[in-house]
Amino acid sequence: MRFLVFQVKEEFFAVDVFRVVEIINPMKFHHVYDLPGFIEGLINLRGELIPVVSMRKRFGIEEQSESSRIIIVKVENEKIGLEVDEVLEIVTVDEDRLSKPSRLFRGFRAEFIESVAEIDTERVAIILNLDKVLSTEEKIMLKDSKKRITRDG
Amino acid sequence: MAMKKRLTVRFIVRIVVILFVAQVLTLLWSTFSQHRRLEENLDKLVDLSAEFVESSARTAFIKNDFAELQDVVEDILEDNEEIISIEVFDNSGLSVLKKSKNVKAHSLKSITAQVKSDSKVLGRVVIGYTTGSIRAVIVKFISVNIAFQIVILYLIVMFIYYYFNKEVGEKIETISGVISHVTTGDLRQRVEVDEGNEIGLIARGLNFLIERLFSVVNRLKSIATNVATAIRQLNLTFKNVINSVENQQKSIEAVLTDVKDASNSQSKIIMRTEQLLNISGENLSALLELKASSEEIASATEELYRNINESYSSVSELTQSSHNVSLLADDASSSVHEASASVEQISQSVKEVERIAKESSNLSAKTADIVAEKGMLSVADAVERMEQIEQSMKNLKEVIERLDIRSKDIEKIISVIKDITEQTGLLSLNAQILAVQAGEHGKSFSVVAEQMQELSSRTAKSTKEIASIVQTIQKEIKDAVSETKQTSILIRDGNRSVVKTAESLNDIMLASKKSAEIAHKIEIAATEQAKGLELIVTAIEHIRAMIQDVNRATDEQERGLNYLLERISSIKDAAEITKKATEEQVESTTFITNNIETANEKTSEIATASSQQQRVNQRIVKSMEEALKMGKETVREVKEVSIFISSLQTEVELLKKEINIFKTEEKEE
Repeated sequence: MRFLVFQVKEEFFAVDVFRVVEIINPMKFHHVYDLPGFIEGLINLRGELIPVVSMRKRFGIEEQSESSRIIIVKVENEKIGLEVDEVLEIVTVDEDRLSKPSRLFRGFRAEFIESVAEIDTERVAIILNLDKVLSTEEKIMLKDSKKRITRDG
Repeated sequence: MAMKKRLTVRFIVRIVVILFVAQVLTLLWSTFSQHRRLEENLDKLVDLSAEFVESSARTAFIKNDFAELQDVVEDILEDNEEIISIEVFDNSGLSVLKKSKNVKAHSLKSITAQVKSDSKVLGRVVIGYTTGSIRAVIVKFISVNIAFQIVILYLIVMFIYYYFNKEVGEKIETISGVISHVTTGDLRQRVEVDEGNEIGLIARGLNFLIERLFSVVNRLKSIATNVATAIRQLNLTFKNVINSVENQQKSIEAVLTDVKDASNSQSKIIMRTEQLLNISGENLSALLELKASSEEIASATEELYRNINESYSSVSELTQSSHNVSLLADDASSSVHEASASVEQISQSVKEVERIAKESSNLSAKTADIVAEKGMLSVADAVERMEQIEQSMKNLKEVIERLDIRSKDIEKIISVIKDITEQTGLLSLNAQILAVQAGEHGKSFSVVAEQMQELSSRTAKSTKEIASIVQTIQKEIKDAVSETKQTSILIRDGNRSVVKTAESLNDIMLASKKSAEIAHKIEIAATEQAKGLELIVTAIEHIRAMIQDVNRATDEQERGLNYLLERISSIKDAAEITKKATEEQVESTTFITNNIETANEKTSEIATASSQQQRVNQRIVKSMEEALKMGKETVREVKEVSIFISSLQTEVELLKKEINIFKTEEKEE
């Protein structure tokens, strides 16, 4: 299994490489009226409006990071941007290096966590369940917002 | 096309072979059963005929009337074409009746039936028959059947060929056409088959794959272009860095030249100062000589004064005694002689004074000359050198300031490189993601992407190293600036010392001139004295002559003595002036000596300051050389990275070429 490893504050996270569309530098956020709170804003990536979720906010970290990158991923055929502190590398992790986390791993909500991977002797990365990063309700809110924005132009 | 043909033909040939085998088997089976049925029928017919002939024969034998039998046999032969001959034998084996058809027949067979009546054998019946008709029937059956089946098979083949082609073959042809286009690299082709069956599924799958490959190749293209641009930019930036560093090195070299010039000037100053010191030493010894001469003059003048006083008292005495002259004529003669000797002595002393005064005047003039010519020249030279040094220091300061600006430029460039490095890292991550997603196709690209990441991390490392080197250089520059400031202060001190030296030398010159004037005055006074003395000598000669005529002219003697007294008085005055002048001269000489000593001290100070300055200069030179070395190292490192980038560029260009084999742009028609 190949994963893209990134960093939020001091924690390492990983997502399946095949879910990643691309990595971009931070862009100008369009703050649109009546967006759901967990959406940092919308970016215009080559004519495509993509909502960006701040991983810091998602994990309840209030302070702002100095540098950031946006990872564009596909969630149920929709592109979503994840704002992270730093993108590190692509790693290959054998199946036997993956383990199920305990119900509450390091204070993160269990539903975000797909599994925990030992990426090397020193680092452990939380593999995100991208489909659970947004709840069903939030996905519906997001779709509604996008529709409204597209309609309003 | 070939594949499709092969597939269709193979499919049809297989079906035809199966059908053919089945038909052949069916035909064989039906022929076999037909044959058997016909044979059975024939056997039944023959048996029936035999039975009939036998029953007729039995009757004939019993009745012994063979006419009916003959009719029956003829009827049978007529009715059945298969039966060729019928023969009836009696029990003794004699042929009773024999009838046969005159027909040529193959496959002749016969059966024999015994004619019995109540278990008594009456005779036997032999019936000959042929199976030729069966063969004919079978041959006809087979030929008709084969013809029919060939027609059926042909129809089936045509039917299958038509429908297979329509349902499968054409679509496979379309798909394989698209695949062959795609394998030559043309990704613009799409399969236009829209059906719900498996072929439609394959077509959609193929379209999806081509679409995917299309987008991947497109993105690879754009990334390769981006990478090439980034690398070109990086190359350009590195060239800028190399230029800047080379400029910096040129500046440092200019500084080095300036500092070396300054050092040379300093060495010259030190040389000049040493010369000046030597001259001062010469001056000092001349002055000491002058002082000694002056002191000698003083003592000589003292002696002269004493002698004059002595003469005066002698003359006074003489005058006083003059009244007793006549009495003491002999004494007077000896006294005059004595006076003459004294005057002679005085004259000698005066001449000595004159000589020494002349010498002193010459020495003073020489001192003044030395001070004016060599000393002032040296000082002017020193001042000029100092100004040169100051100019050099100003240049140095400017160059160092420029260096500082260059360093700041390099800092800016480094921040640009840092940005580019981050961008390259991002690109390489994206490229790696694409390479992973492209699977086998992405392997070659993934190698480049990893190299890119390696490059990006190496560049980041080099950038950090360069930044630290630049920081070191900036520190060195700051040190150089502070050293330069120190040097400026030293130079200012040196300048002040030089000015002071010039002032001292001026004082010396003035004093020397004054001393020369005084010596000249002494000379004039001494000359006057000598003249007076000559007059005295003449007067004494007169006196001597007069004394010889003492007796003759005592009045005259008295007059002569008064005259002498007058003369001696004026000599006494001159001697007093000489004494005073000599004392003044000694004082002046002491003043000059003191001044020269002060000047010497200042000169020594200049020498010390210059040496110190030279040490500072050497430190600056060392710093600059270190900076130069560091600059060279930077250039070397940057060039190394540059080479690496160039190789990467070549690789990326190769990759671009490879990617360009895939046609993805619609405009390229």
